[in-house]
Amino acid sequence: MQIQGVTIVDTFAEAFRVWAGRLVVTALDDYWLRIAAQTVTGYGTSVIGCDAEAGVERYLSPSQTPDGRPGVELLFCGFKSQTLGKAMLNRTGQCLMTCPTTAVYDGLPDAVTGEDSDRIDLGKKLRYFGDGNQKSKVIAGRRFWRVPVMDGEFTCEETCGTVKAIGGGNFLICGQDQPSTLAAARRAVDAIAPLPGVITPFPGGVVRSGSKVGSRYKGMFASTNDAFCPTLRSTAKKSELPPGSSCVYEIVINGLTVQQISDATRHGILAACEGGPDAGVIAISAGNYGGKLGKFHFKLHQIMSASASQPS
Amino acid sequence: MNRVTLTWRPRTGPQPIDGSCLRPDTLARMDAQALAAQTLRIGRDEVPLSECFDITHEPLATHDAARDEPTLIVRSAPPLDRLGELMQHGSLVIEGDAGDDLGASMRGGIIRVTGSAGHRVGGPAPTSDRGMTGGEIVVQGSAGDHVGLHMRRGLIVIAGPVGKSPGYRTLAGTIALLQGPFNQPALHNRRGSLLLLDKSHASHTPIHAITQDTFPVSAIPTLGLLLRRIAQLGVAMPEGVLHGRFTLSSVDRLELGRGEIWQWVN
Repeated sequence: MQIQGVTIVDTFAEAFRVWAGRLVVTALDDYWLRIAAQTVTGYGTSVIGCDAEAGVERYLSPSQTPDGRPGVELLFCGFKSQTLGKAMLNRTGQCLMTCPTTAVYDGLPDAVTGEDSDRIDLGKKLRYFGDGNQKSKVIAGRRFWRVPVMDGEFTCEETCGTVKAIGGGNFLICGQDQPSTLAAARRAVDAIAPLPGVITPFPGGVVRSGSKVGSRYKGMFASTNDAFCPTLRSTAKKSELPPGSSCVYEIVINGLTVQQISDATRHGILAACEGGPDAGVIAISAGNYGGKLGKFHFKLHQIMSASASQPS
Repeated sequence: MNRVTLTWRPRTGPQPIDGSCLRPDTLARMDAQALAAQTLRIGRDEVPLSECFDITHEPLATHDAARDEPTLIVRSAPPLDRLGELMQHGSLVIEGDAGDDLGASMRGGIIRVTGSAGHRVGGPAPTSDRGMTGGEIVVQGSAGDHVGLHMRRGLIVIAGPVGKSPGYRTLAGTIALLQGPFNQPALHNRRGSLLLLDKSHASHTPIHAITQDTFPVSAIPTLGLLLRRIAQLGVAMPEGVLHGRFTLSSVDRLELGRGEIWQWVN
C-alpha cells in the first residue's frame, strides 16, 4: 500500500491494556493553565520508567468547564487502577495544588467501581492539607473539597473515575534525514492533537528511542529497537530500515478505545505522508513485538484502507 | 418510570392539607389504581387522592432507565404543607404555590416551585431534628421565614424575597437568595453557605458575622461551580454576577464560625 507515494508497510502496531483517568483542570488564564498542564504531565512518557503516562487531551473554552474558567482535559494511564490512582494523587498534590489558581475536576464522572471502571480518591485525601480548615460542597451530586491556600481556595473533586483503556498504539515514520522526518512527525502529532480520547505522551508526542521488549542485560525490561537504528543497519540481526532511510521517529498513542486509537493512527499517518517522498518520508511502519507485549493489534493496512483510495 | 400529573379539583372550606404524601419517588412508582386509592390528609380526614385531583398517569418512554427519574407534577393546588417531605429522588414540580415545610428532611431529588413557598423551606420534618440532607429546591417566587432551618446538605435557591433569618441554625449546605433585603441571615449557622445575590442590599453586615475580604468569582472556583449550577436550574441570574466580586463573611461567631456568607458586591 502507498499513500502519497509513501510505502505503508504491511505490519501492525501492538498495544496493551492500561487504565486511564481524565482530569479537567481549570485556571485563571491560559498562561497558568499551560503551566499546570505541562507540570502535571511531566515525566509521564512511558510506564517503563514513569509512574504514569500522561498528556494533554484537549484544551477547553470557559464555556466548556465546570467553573467557567479556561480548562484542559488531561489523560493519565497506568497498568492498574490503584497504581494509577496513586500517581494521579501525587501529581495533583505536587503539581496542581501548588500551581497558582488551579482547580481539579473529574473528567470521567460516569465511571463507577466495577470490572471495567473504577473510582480513585483525589480530593478525599488531598483535603487533609487544609489542616481542619477544609470544607466540602456537594453540587449536582458531586462532592468538591475546598482547601484554603494562599491565593484563595484549591478546589478538587473528591474522587476521579478510571476506565480500561489502551496504551502503546504506535506508528514509525521512516524518513531520509532528521529534519524531514522531524517535520513529518510534527505534522502527525499536530493532526492527532485535536482528536478526542487520545494522547501522545512522549516529548512533543515523538519518540526517538523506540524500544523492543527485553534485553541481554538482567533487570532491563526494554532495550533499543535495533531493527530501526540507522547506525546498526549493517550489524543488527535483522534491520527493518527501508532503503534510503536514515532516521526513524515513533508516534505513540494512548487512548480510551480501539476506535479512537485507530482514528488517531489514520490521521497521524495521513499527515506524516503529506508531500510524499519529496518531503523526505519514505515509509510508515509500526512497532510490534511478535505478540509478546499486548493483545491489541492495529493493522496499518486495515486502518488506512479507508484513505487508500485517495490520490497519491 | 412514570410521570404523574395531579390537577387540583376546587373544594370548599379552608382546611389545613398535609401534602407530605406527594412525593415523586413513591407516587410516580404506583400504577393508576394504587394512585387513585392513595389518601391525602385534609383536616382530620383521609381523602382519596382521586377526590382531590384529576390524575394523569403516563409511563415515560425510557431509553436509559438508570437516568430517568420519576416525576410528579402538582398543578393549581392551594399551598399544601410538607410537599416532598422525606423524598429521596425524582422530580417534584409545583405549578403554583407551596405551603410551609416544603421539602422537609428531603434526602435527594429536586423540587421546583413556580410560585412562592411558605416558612421553613428545606427544614426538618416533624419526625426529625434535621432539615434536608440532600437534593435541590428551587422556588421562583418568594419564601417565608427560616429558609434552610437545620438544613444539613443540599442546595436551596429562592429567586424572590425571603422572610426572617434565612439560614437559621443551618448545619451545612448552600442557600442562594436572589432578592434582598436579607433579614439577619445565617443566625446560629454552623457550616452552611449563604449566597446573597442582590448587590443593592450589600451594605449591611450582620452583627454575628465577621467580614473578611472581597474576592472575584474567578479566585474561588467553588463560587463559579455554584453559580453555574443555579443558572442550570433555570433561575434568571442577575447580569454580571458570574464575573462579579463577593465579600466573604464568617458566621456565626457565637457558633463554630465556619459558616459563610458570600455577598455579591459588584
